[in-house]
Amino acid sequence: MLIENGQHWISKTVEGTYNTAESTGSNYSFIPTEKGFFSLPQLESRNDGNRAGRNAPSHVCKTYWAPPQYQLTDDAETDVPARIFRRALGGSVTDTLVATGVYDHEFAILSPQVGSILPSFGMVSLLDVASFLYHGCMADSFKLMGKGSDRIQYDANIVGSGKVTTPHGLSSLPALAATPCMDGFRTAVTYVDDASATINLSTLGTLIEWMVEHKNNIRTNKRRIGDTIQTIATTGSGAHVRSMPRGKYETTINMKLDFVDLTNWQKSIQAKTFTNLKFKIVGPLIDATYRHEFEVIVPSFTFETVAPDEDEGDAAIMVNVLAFQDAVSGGTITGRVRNATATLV
Amino acid sequence: MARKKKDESTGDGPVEIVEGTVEHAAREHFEREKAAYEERTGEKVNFVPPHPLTSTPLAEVVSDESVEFIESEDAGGSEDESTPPEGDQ
Repeated sequence: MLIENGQHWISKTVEGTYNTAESTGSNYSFIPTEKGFFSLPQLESRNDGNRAGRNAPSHVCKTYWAPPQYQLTDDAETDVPARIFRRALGGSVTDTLVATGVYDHEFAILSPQVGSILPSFGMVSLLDVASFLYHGCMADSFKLMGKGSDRIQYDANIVGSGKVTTPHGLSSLPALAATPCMDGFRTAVTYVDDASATINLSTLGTLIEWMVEHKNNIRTNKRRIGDTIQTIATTGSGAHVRSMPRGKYETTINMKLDFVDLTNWQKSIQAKTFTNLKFKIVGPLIDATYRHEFEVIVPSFTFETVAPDEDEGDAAIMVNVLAFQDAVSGGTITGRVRNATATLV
Repeated sequence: MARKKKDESTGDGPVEIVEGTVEHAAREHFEREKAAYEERTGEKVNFVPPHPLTSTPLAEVVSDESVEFIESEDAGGSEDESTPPEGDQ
């Protein structure tokens, strides 16, 4: 059978209790992805092959259900990727009605002082008899990448606790919905420099490529005596974790620009502080005025390094952006999504 | 004796948290996140933010619309502008 026939869904809701995934099929969204894959839960094991007196193992002991991992890559847009991004940052969402049927959703990184438990959700994978519902999933990382005027791509890693239901047991899982056309050439990248002037890199036309990545470093190995034992296929047993706190998060941002002058390099060595770096991906019209938007905001930052680079023979600079702790949200980046749905969970 | 201005770092003790300042916005943000986290996880958040030493006026919000993409007349549009795709919520 074709691996392209693998189908995957993500819950539109977050878990009220960890490791208890949404049980209504219509509350899931089909995940658009260009790379076919399917999933099989893996049970970790250890053996006695390394004992003195043994040349090879004589048996294996099954231990923990390995955390299932999803790597998703596709166009960034305001439905499933926006949900994953919001869950990767983890803060609460402020929903605002912009106009009739047009909504803004703003969110920040979950502050470590508030807690370390990111929103968890359910994931479903189906390929013929390989039918699984994964509980306790979290967005471990989210990356946005822009190159030239191509459509902006996202790359997300999702990890689960190891708790799984098979077969998935959900009915009416929806089909793939048409995704909004987030045309790359509409993307706007702007920031406010140290002289309070707004620099619009899209108008200048010098931005070759850029990347923003947020990694949560989720602790999937927080294993404790008393963890729940799960049995699949009558005899295959192993434990799964009952919590997965976030580790110390990391944010990486860089931009490759045409080499024009020494301004950026000079500001880098002068350690100038800038504000409101915005990567705004713009999509189709929602109504006569407003478009779908997916925005990453860096409230305060500096150009940590400006190094020589190259783009198909043209001189370029690679700007490494060091995001500072925002004085209001306490995080490095925030997010904003504009779409036609009242909430973004 | 002249009073110290509120937007200066005093270095000698906490200042009043007043509306329209970064410190006030940060405190409000923290309280909102704390309430949402407690509701979502059922865990109590015990962290108490330390009192700030400075009081900084919030920066003026620059309208996002001022840096909107401006479409040239001959640029044409994407095929789905007039009718967003089905499933486009």
